[in-house]
Amino acid sequence: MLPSAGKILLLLSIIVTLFFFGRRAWFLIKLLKSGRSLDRFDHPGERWKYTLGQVFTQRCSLKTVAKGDYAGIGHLLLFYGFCLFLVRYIFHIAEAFNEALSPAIFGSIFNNLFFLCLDMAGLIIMGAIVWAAIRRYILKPERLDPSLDAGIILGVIFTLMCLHYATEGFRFLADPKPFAVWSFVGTFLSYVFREMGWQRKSQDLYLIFWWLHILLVFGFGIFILYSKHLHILGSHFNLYFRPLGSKGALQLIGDLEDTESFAIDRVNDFNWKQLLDLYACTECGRCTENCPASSSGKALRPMDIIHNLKLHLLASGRELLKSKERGGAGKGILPVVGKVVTGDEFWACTTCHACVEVCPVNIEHVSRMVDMRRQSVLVESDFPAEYKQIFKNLEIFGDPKGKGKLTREDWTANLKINKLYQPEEGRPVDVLFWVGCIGATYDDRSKNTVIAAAKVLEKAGVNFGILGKEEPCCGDPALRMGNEYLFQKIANNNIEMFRKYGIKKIVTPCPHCFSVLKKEYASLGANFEISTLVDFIGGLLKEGRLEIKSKINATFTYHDPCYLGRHNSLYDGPREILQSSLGVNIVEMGRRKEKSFCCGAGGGNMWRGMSAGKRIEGLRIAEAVKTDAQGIVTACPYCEVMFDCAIKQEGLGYSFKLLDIVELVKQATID
Amino acid sequence: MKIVVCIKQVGFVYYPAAVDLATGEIDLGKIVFMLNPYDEVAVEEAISIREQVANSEVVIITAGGPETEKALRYAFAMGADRMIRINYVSADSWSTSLALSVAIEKNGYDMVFCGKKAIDSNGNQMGSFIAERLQIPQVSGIVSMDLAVSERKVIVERYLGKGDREEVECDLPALFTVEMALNDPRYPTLPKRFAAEKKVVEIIDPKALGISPEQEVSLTEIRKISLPRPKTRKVFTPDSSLSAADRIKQMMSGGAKSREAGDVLEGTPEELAGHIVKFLVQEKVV
Repeated sequence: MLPSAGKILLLLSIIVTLFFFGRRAWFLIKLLKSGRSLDRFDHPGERWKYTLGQVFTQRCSLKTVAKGDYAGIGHLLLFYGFCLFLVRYIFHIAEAFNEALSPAIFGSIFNNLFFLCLDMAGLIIMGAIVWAAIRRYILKPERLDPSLDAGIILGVIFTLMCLHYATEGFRFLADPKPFAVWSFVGTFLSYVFREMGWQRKSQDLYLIFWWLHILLVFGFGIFILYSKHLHILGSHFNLYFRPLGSKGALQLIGDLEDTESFAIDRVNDFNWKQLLDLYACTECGRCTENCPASSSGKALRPMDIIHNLKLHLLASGRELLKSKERGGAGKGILPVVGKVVTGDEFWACTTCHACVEVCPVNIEHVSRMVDMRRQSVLVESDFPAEYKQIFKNLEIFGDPKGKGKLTREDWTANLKINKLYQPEEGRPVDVLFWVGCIGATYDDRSKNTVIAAAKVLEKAGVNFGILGKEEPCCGDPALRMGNEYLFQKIANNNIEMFRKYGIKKIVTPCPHCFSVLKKEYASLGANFEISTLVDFIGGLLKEGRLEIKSKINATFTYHDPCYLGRHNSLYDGPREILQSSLGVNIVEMGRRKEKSFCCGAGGGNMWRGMSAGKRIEGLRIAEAVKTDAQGIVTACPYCEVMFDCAIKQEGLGYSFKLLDIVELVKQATID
Repeated sequence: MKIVVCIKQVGFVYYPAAVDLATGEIDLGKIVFMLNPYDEVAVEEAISIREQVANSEVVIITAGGPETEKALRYAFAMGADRMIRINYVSADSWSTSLALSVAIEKNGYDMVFCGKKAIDSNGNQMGSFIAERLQIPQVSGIVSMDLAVSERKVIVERYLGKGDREEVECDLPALFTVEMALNDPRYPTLPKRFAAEKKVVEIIDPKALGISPEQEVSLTEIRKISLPRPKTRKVFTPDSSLSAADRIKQMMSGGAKSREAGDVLEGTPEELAGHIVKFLVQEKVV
């Protein structure tokens, strides 16, 4: 429908656009390729299914919808509208070269419906944009940054809609078509324009607006690759290349001697998926919003880390691609650890995974923190002094506090418990009860939990044994704190010991031990069945091996430990035990299940002092107290230590109870 | 600058878990072995100096059996250049110091570092013994060190107790024993750890040191190890016949007993030693 000169101009515009788009895209792809390699090309069928499912049902956005945060719905509307307009633009360009290539080639019914939907979509898009702008610039929620980037994107999309309708309006004024009535907004505008007296100029105006529109589309297309709108390309790939293994499992370093394989010196030492994460980030800020460290005033703000890495990657991109040798900064290339991301930031992470859980585009924040810690500990040996003692204690004494193994049996003082190194005659050991450093060595409160567990297991007739004086740390603190060397040493020793004793089944009260023994040990060749104490007890109750003598009539709130919940998806088991079996009345906190708020102990933080800001455990206890429950029940020794501290600090020791689930089970079945 | 650091792999004994509370015997199977923390500080100091002064070398040396190589390699991994083990197990510090000092002399040295004491034997003597055998000056318990390399001397500080410090200037070559407060030892990087695992330890046979059996003298022997007697705790109770005001005065004064003021002597080490011996003879201790 364009004159030949116009067609040539259009072709040139397309070529120019493709050139700039392609050049930038190639730059971005080259940067990705310069990252470390990683195999995420397995299981294509599963990956396609997930990606298409998430994108086309917009589950990625809908999962973020929560009370007070309905932006996910707005995104859904924008996404579908955008898809429709994408189809329209393809026809738009095709039509310009050959009028027959319009939606009408699929029949007039299709054509009519298409334009009806299109015009409705346009209005919905404009509405959604206005809503987005009001939120971002007037209501200003904490997590959103009222940046120029976002403003341009919102403004351009709104303008594009206006230009689309104006173009249609002038088109129908200049050249009325029978289907125009379906394009109701365009038709309406054509009446308006006629009233304005633009009938005679309508053909020229149509052409002008047509060009304005298409050029803005092309320009925006290129702009996508230079702004945070890059996420519309990055996020799809990010969903596709997501980790398929166990949630929260860290990828262990294969060859510790090959420092090159894990050192993070410059930003493209991260693997390409971690670089893709940076492209996929939409800067929604939900990670920071849900991060316990951010909420308590620490330096760590996950979105800022992703954003700073992205800005640095793009800014130093050309230099990075030029210089092949690793190590030693070139012009503008900064060392990641210390300069782009500071130690204060990545050491504050508790590895709770709230950020990963809530991210709509599946960015993996936590493994990045651990990678930076590995660099800090293994390669540079530049980390806060107090952490050294934890590593030394683990290496020399076998537990993070350096209390040593000799006191690990003290809790068994008045109990007759089978020890694997000295099993009692006639008492077989079917399952190893792995106590964990907190239960075995920490304090009397923690010992009570383990004693209760032992009594319950005995009551149920479980043939269990403990390693006692031979039980070492599971290695979780070393792993999460980045001391991969120490972790692998500990883990390999433990796996040897399991083999020596022929251990096939393990039950443990500590979700951290559970997680690492189940996942990371498996990648080192371990082979055993393991369950958490909570699950195990649930099984015992179902099988009738434990009888409830008296129900517990109390109102408690339940805290989902991060390593039981988010890391291992165990939310309902504990609740079932509490409510159905024990008769406890649970009042839930606002932040529960996948949105549970960390106690602050993970990532090795249990063993070292948290510095800046408020105490994370204090924030959580404050939330728990607000439920008006009589106390808080949880299923993790780490959480209990933290909450014990917080409760005492608030002076609530006599009014707010703290209980492990197994203590309640003991109360109901034995006492 | 050749810097030699003497280290010891010490045995950490858990009390009371590893001790037979009836006899006082230590269960040797329950001892945890580690690099003496004071020696770790010494190694760190040596490496820091090596980083500041060009053409320097840090040599770690220990005397003991093959099991002590664990501590040796850890110390080496902190950043040393060589590690030496004298295959020598002795009865006491004096005879060990012979082996160490001969080996150090053979190696050559500008500075020798030792930990102030080993946390298992708590003798606090090794540094002094080695310095005496090498006939070099010794400053013990240093908490800070300033190098003046060109002038071949150092300025160190030591604790005198009650918050006082002493600044000592010492010519090199000299021996220094270190306090924990001197520095914060670095954690070995992974590449250095692997290098330490692979590096061959230089093992010296004591015979190669030319030590004759007559020279191998032990000056002490362990006769008995026993449990500490429980300390009696004195609890101060004010005299109830006094008025309230007087009782408070009594409590505030820190007790009814007055402390005798001691003499602080000054003089050269020889003069001071003479005074101390005279005092000990006077008090019929010697």
